[in-house]
Amino acid sequence: MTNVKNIKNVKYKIPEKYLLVYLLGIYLIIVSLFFDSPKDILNGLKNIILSPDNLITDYVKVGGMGGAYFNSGVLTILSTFLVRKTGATLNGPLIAAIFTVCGFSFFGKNIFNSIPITLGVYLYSKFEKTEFKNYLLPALFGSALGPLVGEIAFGFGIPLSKSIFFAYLAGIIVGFVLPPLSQAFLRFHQGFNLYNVGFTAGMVGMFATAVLKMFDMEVETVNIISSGNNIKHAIVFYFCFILMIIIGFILNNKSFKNYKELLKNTGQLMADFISLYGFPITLINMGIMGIIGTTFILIIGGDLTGPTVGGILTIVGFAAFGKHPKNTIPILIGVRLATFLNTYDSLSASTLLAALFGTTLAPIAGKYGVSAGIFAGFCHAALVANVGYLHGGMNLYNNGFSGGFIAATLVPIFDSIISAIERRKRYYEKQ
Amino acid sequence: MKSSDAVVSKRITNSVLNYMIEHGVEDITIRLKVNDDKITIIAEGNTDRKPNDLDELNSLINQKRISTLEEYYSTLLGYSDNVNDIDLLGSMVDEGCINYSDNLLTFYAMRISN
Repeated sequence: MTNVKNIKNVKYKIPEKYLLVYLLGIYLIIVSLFFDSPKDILNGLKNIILSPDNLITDYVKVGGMGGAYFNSGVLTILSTFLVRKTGATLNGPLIAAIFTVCGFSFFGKNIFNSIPITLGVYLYSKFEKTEFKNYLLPALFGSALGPLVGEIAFGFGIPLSKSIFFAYLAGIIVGFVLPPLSQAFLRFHQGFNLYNVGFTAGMVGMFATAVLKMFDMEVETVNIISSGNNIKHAIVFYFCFILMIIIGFILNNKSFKNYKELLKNTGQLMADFISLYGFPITLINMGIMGIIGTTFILIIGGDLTGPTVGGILTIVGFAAFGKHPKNTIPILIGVRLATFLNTYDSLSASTLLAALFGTTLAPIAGKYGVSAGIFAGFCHAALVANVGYLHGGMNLYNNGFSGGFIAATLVPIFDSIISAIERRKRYYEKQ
Repeated sequence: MKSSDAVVSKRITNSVLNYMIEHGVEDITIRLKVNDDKITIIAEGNTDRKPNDLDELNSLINQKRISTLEEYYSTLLGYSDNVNDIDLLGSMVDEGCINYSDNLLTFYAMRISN
């Protein structure tokens, strides 16, 4: 258990936290203007919106560097504005959600396919007669099923006048059922899978794909991937992550105080690092995790693409809500170990995503140790490659879907091993 | 009692019970009181071990209630030994206190009804 006895309760005005997230969105928009002209960005955005979006659709390939960065910047600002508008306190889970939207806006999320799902969640809050801010997390994470909207609207060759109506209807229905389902599925993996909505969206996507298949509407995964942008992406994001560390360091009285305490946290839900250890050290952790994620891809010779950038940004977001070097590196090692031994391409986009997003299982490494984390990563690499077809790539958080099964399977096994060891210890002590 | 209050009361009670058993507390007494405007939970029991996370729990339990979290994550509260309850409990009660003296561990929490 983490000891926070000596931690000063540093108080920040909420707008300062919001300001930093807004600045990220503005930064991405400014960067987009360095890559492309406004005209090219608009064309890129049009292509992004008109694409079906199912896994893996790299927006850098579809809409160019400018279009992808602009799309991500706009969605980051809009998500932050939505959270601010409800009057919610910006905590670890909400930062994780906003960064996840920011990351996935590089491959699968756009304004067109996110609106109906958010609207569905809003309608559910009205139905439940509770405030919308209580459902911000499923509203933001829920756009994982954006490709369902995009696929129905633009993937089946239905006339636009009809297809958009049905796409939005499907999105609203999905948004409406996500909150109760995501709450229920939390118990399935007991909070050991950080991308809980990913597991939920996988289940919903599986049903949606099955229904579409009944009407002869086949949905299949795709592989639209950009390449050759490593240096550009690396400069943009290393600068951003180093700046996070510097700002965090300054706000933390020019120290890394409390980081040791943060690293002791298992990361299991609910580990809101902001409320536990303060915003400054959380910001430092976010920057460090971003550097680890980016360096990992570059060191193994992988490509920084829309999806891998999305993976890195998601890790950065969850560095405010459960992830830190100690509980994520074992997972990365486990996935990497599996890719050396299996028959898949070790540098394919899906393999790289399995490593980055496999860190959804960080709490397993946090609670059961390094070996358990490596084993979980290994299992994840095996399973994640075989569950995408169930939802036809319509669930962007495919790794969260796989992670739910891995956590639900491994946790009881690890628990039984631990209790057996303890029983033996007690037995021999009595002898 | 409103159904939502009943659900939350059960979850908090389970969570407190899990916490006490996990910390070797014996002879536990729990008192749950639900009014129209608030839920009060008082628990006490004997143990010769002072919980090492007493200060952390005291700090968390008095933090502001967070509606964005409780609606979504409350389902995990008191669910099993594996769940990291200590963080979650703090986001679901309005005030509380946990104290250890003379081998007696006492817990108090209050939540204003929605």
